[in-house]
Amino acid sequence: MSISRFANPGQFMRLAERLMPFCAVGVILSFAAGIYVALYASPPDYQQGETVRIMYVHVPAAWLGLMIYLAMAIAAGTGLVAKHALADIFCTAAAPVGAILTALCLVTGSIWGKPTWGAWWVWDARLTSVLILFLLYCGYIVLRGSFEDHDKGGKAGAILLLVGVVNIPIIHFSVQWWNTLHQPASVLRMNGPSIDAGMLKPLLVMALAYVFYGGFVILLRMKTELLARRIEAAEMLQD
Amino acid sequence: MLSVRSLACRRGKRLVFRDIGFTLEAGGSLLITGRNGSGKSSLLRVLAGLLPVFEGEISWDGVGVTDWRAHRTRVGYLGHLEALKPELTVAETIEHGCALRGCCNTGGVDLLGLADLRDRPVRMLSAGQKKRLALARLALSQTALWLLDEPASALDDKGQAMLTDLIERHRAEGGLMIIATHQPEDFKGARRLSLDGDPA
Amino acid sequence: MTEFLRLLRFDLRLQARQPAAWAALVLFFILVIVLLPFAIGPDADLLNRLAPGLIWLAALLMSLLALDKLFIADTRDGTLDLMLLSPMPLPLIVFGKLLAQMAMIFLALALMILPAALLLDMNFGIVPVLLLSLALGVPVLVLLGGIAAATTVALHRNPALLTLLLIPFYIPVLIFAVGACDAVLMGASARPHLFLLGAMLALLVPTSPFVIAATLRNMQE
Repeated sequence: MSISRFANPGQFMRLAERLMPFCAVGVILSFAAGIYVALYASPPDYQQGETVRIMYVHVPAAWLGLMIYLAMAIAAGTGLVAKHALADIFCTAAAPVGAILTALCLVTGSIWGKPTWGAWWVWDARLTSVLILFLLYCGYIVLRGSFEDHDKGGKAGAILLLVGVVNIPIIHFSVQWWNTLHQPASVLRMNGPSIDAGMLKPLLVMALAYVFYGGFVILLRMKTELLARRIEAAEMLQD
Repeated sequence: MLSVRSLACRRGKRLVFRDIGFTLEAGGSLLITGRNGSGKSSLLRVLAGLLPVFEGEISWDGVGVTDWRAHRTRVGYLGHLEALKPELTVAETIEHGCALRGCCNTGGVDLLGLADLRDRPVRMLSAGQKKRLALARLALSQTALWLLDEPASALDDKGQAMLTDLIERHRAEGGLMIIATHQPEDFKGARRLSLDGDPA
Repeated sequence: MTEFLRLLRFDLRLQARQPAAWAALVLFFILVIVLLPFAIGPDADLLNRLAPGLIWLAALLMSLLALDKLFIADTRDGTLDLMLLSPMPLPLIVFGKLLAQMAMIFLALALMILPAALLLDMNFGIVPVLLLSLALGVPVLVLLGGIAAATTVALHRNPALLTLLLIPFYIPVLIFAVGACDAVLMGASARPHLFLLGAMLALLVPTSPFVIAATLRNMQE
């Protein structure tokens, strides 16, 4: 009975085998292109000069951090309804990736902030929202990791993700409101008045690079997790 | 009539027992015996619906259980933990038990010799008295199947006699009884099911 | 309905007979309030401006303290089994427990709000808004906390984990509640903030008992 539950994951393994080399190549190519365009072929900001280039690392990291969380929440929902083991495997695999990218966004935001605003951290609406997203990731990772039983842990994690995803627009809205109520001393905009086309292209290329990177690592982690669970299941039936 | 077929239970990564089957008629009684860790308590919890069925089937009168809520209305369970609140009195504990089952208390405090203790808070009861209280609460729940996990532990001879009396009365009324115990000699006239894999 | 009220009476009775737990909440609240001025400085204007936020922070931390214990006793003594085995709908049983917990927290706050307002030199004009924000916000904290407590019930008691899980959800509550008080302080209307709190409550009341009940059933081992 337990072996049949892994039948679909077998298909996944074959799919992963085919996708991963594609992702790997994609990572190398798009990072190469992205770094070239970000560091050389795009204009410096008229206000911030060269430091604006941190944006090309910082912003796609935020996008991916959010995207991965949303993907995890969707997986959690379908996992609860369809009782598919692959959903939990995706969530456990993707969570640290999303967390690290979110942390990268926070760190690069801080590095960017020092020369630009003179402070290592500002409670600006977007940074604060990303900080809360990071806490959501940490909460999920710690909670999911505390369970030995995959069924129970999967369900607990799924509930946390679903309640969390409902909370994301609330967080975004409330933090933005909180920020405007308490007017910060200087009104700061991260990207300048409007995104210049010369800046948009490298941003998108870097975003693509991040997507390939995320895809590759998540697929790798999923494969590993799946194999680990098969070993567990085999060990259990041996008793 | 309760029948169980090829029942298996998994806790964490361990398969606690497998391929357990038996049939119990109205008025019947079954003793579950086995070493520590053989899964006696787990078996009772699966039958109560507290643990999920990993493999196998439980059926009432030939119909497999799918509606666990309906199953729960027919089952009374007394586990190792007696589920007593130290702040409530004996009478209040019985009332609370009835409130949880949605039934009415019909002077149940007089069961099992607890009448004198009705206003005593649970934290001032001895171990044997607590056990009797938990049993009385179970007896009042008007359930067909009683699942008792080591009910005689902490009971003195008088308590044991009251327990036997209670069990006999329930069986006489057509109730079903499944008892997990280390001391099967305390319960006469019951079939045995051993989880050790040896013949009973 | 009568059965629910019967159970609620028992939940309230159990809370009432644990005066030590209630005293711990009250004491914790007042300790936070007393410590904060030492951390911030005795500047009366500063304390006055921060007062609603500080009181809300103390209330939030006190609620975390209470929620950490929400299902622990029942798990340890086996009452959770009784609740799971009951033919009564588990969401209803759970809701009774949550209401009793809210009542206990409200009682602690009712006692401590005025002393706290005095200690922090709070503007008394905002007391009504503060009370209203607490009346709406504390149930939100308890309902969210119930979900987190149910999720972690099978794990060894870990207050740090519960806090970590709840912080992202408590932050918007804090923002809206303190925002309501600050709005009144600045002469604006607190209505939008309170409506948002009310909306969160309206969303949680019909859903959280079911989520908690489902979680408790699934966490059985």
